[in-house]
Amino acid sequence: MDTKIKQTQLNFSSQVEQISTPADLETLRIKYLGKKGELTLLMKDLQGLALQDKKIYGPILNELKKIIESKLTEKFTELENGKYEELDYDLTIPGPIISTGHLHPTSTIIREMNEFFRYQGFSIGEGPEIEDVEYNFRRLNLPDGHPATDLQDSLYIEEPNLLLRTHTSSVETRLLSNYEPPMRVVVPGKCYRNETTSITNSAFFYQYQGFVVDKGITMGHLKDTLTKFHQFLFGDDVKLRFRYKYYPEVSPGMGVDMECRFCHGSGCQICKYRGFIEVLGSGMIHYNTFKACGIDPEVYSGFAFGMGLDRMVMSKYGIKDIRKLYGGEIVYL
Amino acid sequence: MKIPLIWLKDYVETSQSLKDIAADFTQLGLMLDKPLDETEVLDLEQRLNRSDLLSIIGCARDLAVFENVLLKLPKGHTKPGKIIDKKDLVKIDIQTPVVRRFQTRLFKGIKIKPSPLWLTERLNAYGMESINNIVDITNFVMLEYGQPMHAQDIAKLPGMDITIRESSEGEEITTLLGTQIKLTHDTHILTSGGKPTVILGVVGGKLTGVTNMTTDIVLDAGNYDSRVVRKSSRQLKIMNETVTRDDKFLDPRLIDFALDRATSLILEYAGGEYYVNDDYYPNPVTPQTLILRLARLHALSGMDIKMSEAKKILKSLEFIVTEETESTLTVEVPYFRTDMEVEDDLISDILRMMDYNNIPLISLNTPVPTDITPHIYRFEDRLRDLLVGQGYDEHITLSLTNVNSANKEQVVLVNALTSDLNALRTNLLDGLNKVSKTYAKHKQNKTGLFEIGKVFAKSTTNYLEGRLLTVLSIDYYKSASSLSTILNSLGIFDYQITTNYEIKVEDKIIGNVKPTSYTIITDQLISLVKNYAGIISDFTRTTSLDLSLLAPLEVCYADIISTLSSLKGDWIKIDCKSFTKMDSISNNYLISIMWDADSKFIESNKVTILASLKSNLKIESKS
Repeated sequence: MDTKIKQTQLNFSSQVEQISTPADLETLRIKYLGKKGELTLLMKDLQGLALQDKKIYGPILNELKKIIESKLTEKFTELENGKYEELDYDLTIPGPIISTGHLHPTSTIIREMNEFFRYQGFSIGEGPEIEDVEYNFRRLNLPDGHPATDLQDSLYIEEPNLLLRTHTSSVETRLLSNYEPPMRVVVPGKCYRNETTSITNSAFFYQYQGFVVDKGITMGHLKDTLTKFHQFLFGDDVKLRFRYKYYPEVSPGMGVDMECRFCHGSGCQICKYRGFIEVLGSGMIHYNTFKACGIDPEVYSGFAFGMGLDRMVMSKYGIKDIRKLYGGEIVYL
Repeated sequence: MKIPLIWLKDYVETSQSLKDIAADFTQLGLMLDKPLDETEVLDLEQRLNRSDLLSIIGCARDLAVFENVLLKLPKGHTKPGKIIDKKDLVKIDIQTPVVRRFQTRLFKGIKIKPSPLWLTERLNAYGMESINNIVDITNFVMLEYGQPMHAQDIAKLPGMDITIRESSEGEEITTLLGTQIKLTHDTHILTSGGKPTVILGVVGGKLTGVTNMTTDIVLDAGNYDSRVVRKSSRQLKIMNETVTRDDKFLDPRLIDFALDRATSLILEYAGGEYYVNDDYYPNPVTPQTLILRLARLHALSGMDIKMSEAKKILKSLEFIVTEETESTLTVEVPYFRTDMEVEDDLISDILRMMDYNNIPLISLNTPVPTDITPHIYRFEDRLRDLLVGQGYDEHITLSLTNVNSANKEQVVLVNALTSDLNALRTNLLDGLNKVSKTYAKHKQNKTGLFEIGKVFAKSTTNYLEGRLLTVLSIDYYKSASSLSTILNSLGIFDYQITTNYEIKVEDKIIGNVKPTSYTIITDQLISLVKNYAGIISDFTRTTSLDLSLLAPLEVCYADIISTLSSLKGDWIKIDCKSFTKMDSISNNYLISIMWDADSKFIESNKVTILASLKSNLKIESKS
């Protein structure tokens, strides 16, 4: 037995060295490890031996099997890699980048947000940027003369009735006036205000608005939707604070703050030592808004929320000046 | 609104730290405007609709209810004043409808001196300087109750009247701070003996101001149309504590509480006698009544709140319950809550006091509504992806531009702040060209840029918004090839550029080309798109005819295509494989016409095609 084992090992070692193709290697594997392979037969021979010898030769044969298997694998890898040695290029050099284009940072963030809301069954809404005060103010419970409707804060096309929309809420009143509930809609869009441009303010900015109208919609639904939305954007460990806040187009109104991700609530420069950063305004759609849009507030209820997009885009991309964001002064890497 | 802790504690027995009080105010809707420092003053943001939160008592009241502690209010002088001799009466004459109420009280024999320490301490903590007892008391009560008031020296009144009217052009007034103001014709003012003494709701004048010599004063508190105050303040560029309050919606009933408190303080700290004078109040306010339904409270909150709980909160906020059933509560709204409009505002107050953080989260569980996303939205997103794939970077440029007087279609803004942003753009190319210049300046060599956005125009009857895609490339070849690739990706294999440089697909104009850019009207293109085109499962054979043509200089490819189209041949497509400027009289086009391989008419077609090109366009075949 001893001799047989040694001979098998010697034979295999010399034969494996001469192999030059994967096919030959497979033949060799069968020759030794196949059903009728040499090693397989030797293992069968074990059964005829005395118990004492079995204990000696069993482990030796197992060891040999491992050696053969590992040698076969080694040879296989060697053959595979060898295929590339004759190439006239070096596979180990990292390649140059294929130049593709890039979406604008604002488009990217809008897509990210849309993705969340699309899966929650929201449509994406659109509306005109040249807007009537009827949709921009009056139907949002902002009667003529309300401080928020001040002529000086808005950009007018024709005073006092036609202006550039000051928020995406105008799309909300348009859709509420033109469609039957139930509705779940988000509105990303451009808005305008009469302001001189600076690092943080622009006459032109983006908002992201959303609303849900159905029977039985509550503040609980609003809180849950906004919580899931922020978990989607910032991770499950995001901490939100819900507080009362006044907005004319909702009642009850609700402000939402996110715990500062830099200081974790202890207060720092980024959060102006508040520990939290205001992220959006929201609330239950105002009774008067429903009535103005022809929806019965005794049958339907709904929530709405809105946020400025630019600040979020700028913080995610590390852009410090809003003028650069929309002035073409961004270079994509 | 600044709230000095020392002042707040006059009304609320809170044991909370300043930080915790700030956190409570945040929950109530008043977040800190500035971070806390060692001064122990809370600087809270202002709320647009709650005029009472511009008073320390108003803020204290909300805090007391939220923290469930006692609110202590000061006692005013409620005893009526003495009757004054007719000759000493200051006659009140209101000549404008913007005054809802104007109450005056007279004080005689008062002594002007420094205010007591407790009062100056509070004013100083607020950030206001102490002047003398009378001026300090009017300021103190304004901050305490939120009602501005004025004291004028009777001895200095030019006449025995206070008249409220619109100013005449050119009238002048010197404010208490010494600023001289020339008035236009429509500012509302208080006058006496025909002379302006106070700008209504904005600032007092020096002429009748209280000084150390003053012994008799007329104290007034008014309630005005806030729009008028806001207008004057903006026009005159004056913003102060009075304006901040007068341009909010105050209730005329507040005047009684504020003047009673001021009267009590004047009598205590300046002495003298108090006499009644005119109280102009033509239409006294009727208290507002609201009904709270328990079912609605549950429906909006998603919480099972008990009626007793709701009632307790509303009562502590000083709502008066006038009627009560198992499911409803009828309440009279307190005078200082001018923000209350609808039942839901009561619900808002109840939830606010219960802390929004306690409202449970509920998953949206109603069926998903019909999708109303416009097709164009998804389509434009697809265009973005296709262009990004081609190596183009997306930009968003300003929709605002400067007025171009030559462009009659341009939409012009009537009140823009700057002349470089006073109209709406009519194209996207100008914006992209600007970006391209910036890139060139910074030596950024990019394939190209694109923008998808709206442009604006006015017609004779209305304003129009159009949706465009403009792609700007570094050269002509990239631009032409980008357009072909985009259309190809959308299943449009055949398009022409007309001699007017318009892009034509199936007889529809969808945009135009320029030397290094092209523009597509996205909502025109969308109807031509074939979503599932561009894949073959049966491999068909084609055969083609290549023609080398010599065309006179004035002929362009669009002319060739137009002539060939009129032949209505059964070819699959025509391509221009190359274009060469030959000499001063002709250009060379190499065109390839492709047929199905089974088509057997190539040779006869060739004769017809060449004959037609020659007769119509004087084109010669080179081969």
